[in-house]
Amino acid sequence: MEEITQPDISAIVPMEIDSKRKRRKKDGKRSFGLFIIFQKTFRELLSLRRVLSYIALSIVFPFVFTMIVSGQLTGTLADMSIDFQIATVVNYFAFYSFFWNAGILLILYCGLIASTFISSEESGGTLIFLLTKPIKRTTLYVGKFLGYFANMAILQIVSLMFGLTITCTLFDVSSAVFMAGMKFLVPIYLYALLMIAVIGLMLGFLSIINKRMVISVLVIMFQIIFIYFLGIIFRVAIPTYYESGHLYLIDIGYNLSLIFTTFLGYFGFQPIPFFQQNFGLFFGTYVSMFSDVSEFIGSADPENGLTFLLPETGYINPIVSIIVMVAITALLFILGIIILERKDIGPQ
Amino acid sequence: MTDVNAYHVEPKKIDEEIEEVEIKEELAIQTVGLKKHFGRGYNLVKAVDGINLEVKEGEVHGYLGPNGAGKTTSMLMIAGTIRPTAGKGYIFGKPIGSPAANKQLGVAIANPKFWKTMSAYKYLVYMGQLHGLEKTLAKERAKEFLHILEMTQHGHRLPVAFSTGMKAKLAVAQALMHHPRLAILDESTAGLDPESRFKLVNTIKELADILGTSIFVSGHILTEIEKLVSRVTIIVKGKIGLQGITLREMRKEFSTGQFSLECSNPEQVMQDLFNMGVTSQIFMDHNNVIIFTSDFIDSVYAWLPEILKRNGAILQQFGPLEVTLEEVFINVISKRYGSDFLYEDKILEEFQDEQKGIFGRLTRRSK
Ligand SMILES: Nc1ncnc2c1ncn2[C@@H]1O[C@H](COP(=O)(O)OP(=O)(O)OP(=O)(O)O)[C@@H](O)[C@H]1O
Ligand SMILES: [Mg+2]
Repeated sequence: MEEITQPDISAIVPMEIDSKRKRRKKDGKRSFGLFIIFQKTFRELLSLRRVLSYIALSIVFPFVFTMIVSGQLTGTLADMSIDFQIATVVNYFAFYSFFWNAGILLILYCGLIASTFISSEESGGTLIFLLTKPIKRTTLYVGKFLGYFANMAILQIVSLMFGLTITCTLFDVSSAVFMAGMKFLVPIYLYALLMIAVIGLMLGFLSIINKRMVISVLVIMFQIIFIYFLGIIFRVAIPTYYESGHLYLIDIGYNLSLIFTTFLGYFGFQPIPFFQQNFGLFFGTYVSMFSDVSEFIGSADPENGLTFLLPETGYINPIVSIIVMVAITALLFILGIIILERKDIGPQ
Repeated sequence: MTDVNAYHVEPKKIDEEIEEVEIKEELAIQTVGLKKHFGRGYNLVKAVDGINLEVKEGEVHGYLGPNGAGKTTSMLMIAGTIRPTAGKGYIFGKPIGSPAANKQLGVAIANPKFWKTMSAYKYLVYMGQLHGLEKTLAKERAKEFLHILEMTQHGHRLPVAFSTGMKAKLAVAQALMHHPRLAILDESTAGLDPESRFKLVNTIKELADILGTSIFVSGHILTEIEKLVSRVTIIVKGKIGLQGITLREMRKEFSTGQFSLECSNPEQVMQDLFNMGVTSQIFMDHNNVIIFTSDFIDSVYAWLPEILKRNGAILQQFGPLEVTLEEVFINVISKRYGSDFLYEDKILEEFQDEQKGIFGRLTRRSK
């Protein structure tokens, strides 16, 4: 902690007297408003408690799931061909990431932070002081967003590294497999960054128009349910109508999984039946077959396991998906700034 | 059809009038027809209804008005946190609400709030940096202001745990630490005990003198404002009741023409003065002070020593009876809205009139 020393009293007043005008000009080197706000947001979010809880939660899912799966495998993974080992590890890791590390957990965390960007300052009565500073409201918002983005970007890469390490350790594979798996961190991380930005700007918009925590939590929960569990209900309950009624257009889960698998595909990702089964079932990325997962794992021959492929559904071009998502986010960003710029902030 | 044309012309004219106003860069605050209306329909509140303010550079300008007059709303509009419904405003020629205007500005409000995780010292450093001070300078200033406001030992404490007085001081520190050209202080001394208030007011005044800061200050403790300000503006129900008048002008304008005389043996002295025949409305108040008006005050001055001597009285004080700001304040409000303004049911009545529209208001005014 920095010592607050008594200033040299004799220096206080005379210094000001002969320089009241000059000093204002002389200040010269000035602080950048955007950077100052970025810095504060970033530092506050980087508190030890927050980081530890995030990392701890992020490894729970890969840990539990890998434990279960590795128990179900016939024999140990290390005995099989190296390609099969890599494919298995990468597929499971991608699955965990999409569901948890860059999925539900990320949405929860990002959502909870982003939905307080403006609203917490507003209801806390501190926004009024910030707005009397020579800083544009837009700068304030962007500074907060960037601080959050940088913070989550760091947390996310750490979380993914831990996830991969845990998966490799529990499958008991060699370090060569781990190194090969590292390559796939890139597309997964890219996808995570996209999610951090999108969720941040969407819930950031909410933080401008809504001050109530209950509403924010409800919106986040609704978002998660919509992405992860609504599609499966559609596809099981009304399978024909899903396609003929073009329901996939509003199925966010499908669009996200499409973007995710496309990113992975650029890096030479080869899905195994387990991955295809589940993504087909939950998100409709592949033509789904409703049967037991373990059957595929058990029957997968080390040699031809990789060739057991389900066709992709390919309802939408993934590029279109990305463009639409980015466009909606950008729209919300612009709308949010317009509303923020017009907003009246009175005393509490 | 001609009616339609008439409607088209009028709003244009008004716009042009506002455009035409000359922006005076030498004025600390200049507003032109500044308005803020909240709500719609039955909930419509004309919090600020077209005010033209002028605050000169270097002066301490008081901004007075009864509760709900629109002081806070108009001050916050100038500070850029509330957006005007109509009208314009400038701080040293820069449009209000812009970073350029806020650069020259420091603002403290009543009941300030702070972040829950930031110590008072860090808070000041942060606020200074937001104002563009370089980090080392911000630190220096933070220490300086903690010292000036006698809070150095509380620097590492969280301001959310401060007492009302300390919070108010911290808010004033963050408003002045970057040496703004203009400070807006909205009831910054609300909730302080008399001694702390006295100290804070004096500190503000000293700092303003040293830094050459213009101050635009509101408050309800008029005896305190009176000490601080050189000019006042009174706002009543969103409209200017008394425009930027100096205390001296104010005393003249609102002077009752009365003189007060304080001396020993007041009964006899009063009798003699009365017998002189140059005074009128002479009486003694409950503090045994003689109060009178006179059209021949020079003769009173000339004769007074003689009268006192004759009665063996010792002069304690003599001079024109000074009107206090409080009296002016009540005078202005009652002038504008009738002496019953302060009774609640009248306010309600007027509120209902306003709902009825312009005609309701006009009939009330003419009463
Ligand atoms: N956000 C708001 N929504 C609706 N009405 C408002 C809002 N803010 C202020 N008002 C109304 O505007 C009027 C002026 O309020 P303001 O706070 O400016 O008064 P004030 O002069 O500062 O009063 P006080 O001396 O009590 O502080 C009041 O009638 C108030 O109810
Ligand atoms: Mg007020």
